[in-house]
Amino acid sequence: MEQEKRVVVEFKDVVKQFEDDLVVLDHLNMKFYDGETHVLCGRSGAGKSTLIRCINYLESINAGEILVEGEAVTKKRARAIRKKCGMVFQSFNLFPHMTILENALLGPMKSLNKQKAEIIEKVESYFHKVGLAEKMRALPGELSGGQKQRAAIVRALAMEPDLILFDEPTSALDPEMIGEVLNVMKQLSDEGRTMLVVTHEMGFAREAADKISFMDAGKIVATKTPVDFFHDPGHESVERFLKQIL
Amino acid sequence: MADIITIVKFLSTGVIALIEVIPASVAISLVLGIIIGILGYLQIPIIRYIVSAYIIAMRGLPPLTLLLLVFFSGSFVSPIVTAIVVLSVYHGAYIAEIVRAGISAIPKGQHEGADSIGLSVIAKMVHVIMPQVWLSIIPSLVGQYIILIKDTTLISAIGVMELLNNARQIMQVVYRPITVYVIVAVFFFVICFFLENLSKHLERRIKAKTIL
Repeated sequence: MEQEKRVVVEFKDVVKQFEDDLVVLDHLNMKFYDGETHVLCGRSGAGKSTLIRCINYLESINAGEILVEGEAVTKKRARAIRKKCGMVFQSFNLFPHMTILENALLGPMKSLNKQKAEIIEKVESYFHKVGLAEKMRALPGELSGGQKQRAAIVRALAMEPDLILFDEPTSALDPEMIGEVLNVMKQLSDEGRTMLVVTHEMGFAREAADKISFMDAGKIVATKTPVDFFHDPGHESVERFLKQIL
Repeated sequence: MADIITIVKFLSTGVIALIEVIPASVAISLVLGIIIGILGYLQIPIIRYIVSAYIIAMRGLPPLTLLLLVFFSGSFVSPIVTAIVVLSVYHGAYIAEIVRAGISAIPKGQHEGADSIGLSVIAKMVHVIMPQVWLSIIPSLVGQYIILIKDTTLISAIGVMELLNNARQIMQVVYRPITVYVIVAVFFFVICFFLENLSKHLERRIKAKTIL
C-alpha cells in the first residue's frame, strides 16, 4: 500500500552536525508520504526538531540529501521549498504588529504574489474552521496561547502548502489550551493533509497519526502504525520511552 | 530691551540656515543609517568590511575635524552642502548602529516565521522586521538627532551663517556676549528639551503598546 503513495519528503543518508561536533542527524534515511500524518517522537535532544527544520532549510545539512517532491533542498531552492511547506512553531512566531488576518495574508500576498481579493475568502474560511472567525482583526498580543497557535496554523494553511511541519506545536501551551490546538490538527489530519508532527502528545499520535516514528540519537529507530507502535514497539528503547511517558 | 530685540532679530536669520541643514541631514542620515544598518546586520561578504570600516571611521573622528577636512578638500563648493553631507554621513554611522542593534534585538523566531512563509529577505525586512524595529529604536533615534542638532553649531567653523556665527557678529555690534550666548543657548535648549520629552512620551506609548 505504501508503494502506491507519492513520496513527499525523502531523507537520503542525511548527516547534520552542530559546530561543537554534536551529531544531531546520523546518516538518517526516511520517506514521508503524501496524505499521511506522520508523528515523530523521542526524547528531547534526539534530533526531531532538527529533522523537520532541515526540510524547509531553517537548518542546513552537512551530508546526504533531502528531497521535497523530488527536488533537493538547497540554499538556492529554500524559498521555493518554503512556499510548499507550511510550518507551525512551538513559540507561534506570529508577527505582533499585524492582526492575525494580516499575518495569514502576508505569505500569499508577498511571497506567492496573490491579490487580496482572490484569497481573502479562503483565508477567512480557515479562521472559521479553527474557531477564530470573531478574532481575525485581533493582534496576536490580545489572544491566548491556544488562539495564537490556531492562528499560526491558519497562517501556514493560507499558503496552501503540500505539507505542513509542526514543531512541538503544543509544548508552549498551558494544559487547558492543548486540546483546542490538537483538535484543529486532528481535523486537518482527517482531511488527508500531509503533516509531519513533532510532539510529545501520545494521545494525538494514537488518534490521528498514520505512522509514528521514534527517534533516538539522531536516527529513526522505528516507524510503525499507531496500533503497532503502542502494542508491539519491537524495540527496547521505544518500550522504555513509552513506559516513562504513558 | 531694544538691544535684545535687535539681537534676536539678527540671530533669527541664522535659524534659516539651520532650517536648511537640520531637516536635510536628519532625512539623509536616516535613509543612510537604515540602509547601512540593514547591510551591517546581513553580514554580506566584502560589504560587511566596507560597512564596519565606515562605522569605525565615523566613530573615531571628531565631527569638527571631519567638517573642516571635507570643506577644505573642496569636494563641495557650498558650505551648506558640505554641512549637510558631513552631518548626514557622520550621524548616519551612528544611526546604522542603532538600526543594526534594533534588528538584532528582534527574536530569531520572527525571522523564522517570515522565512517559513517564503518571504524574500527584502519582503521580510520591510513587512516583518523593520516595523517592529521602529518602535524599539525611536527613543535612540531621537537621542541621536538631539546630538545632530547640537552639532550644527560646529558648521559655523566653515562659514555657514547659522546661529553661532550670527551671534559672533552681533556681539561685535552690541557687545553683550552673555546676553547673546544665553539667547543662543536657550534656543538650542528649548528644541532639545522638546525632543527629549517627545522621545520619553513616545517611549511610554510604545511600552504600553508592546505590553498589550
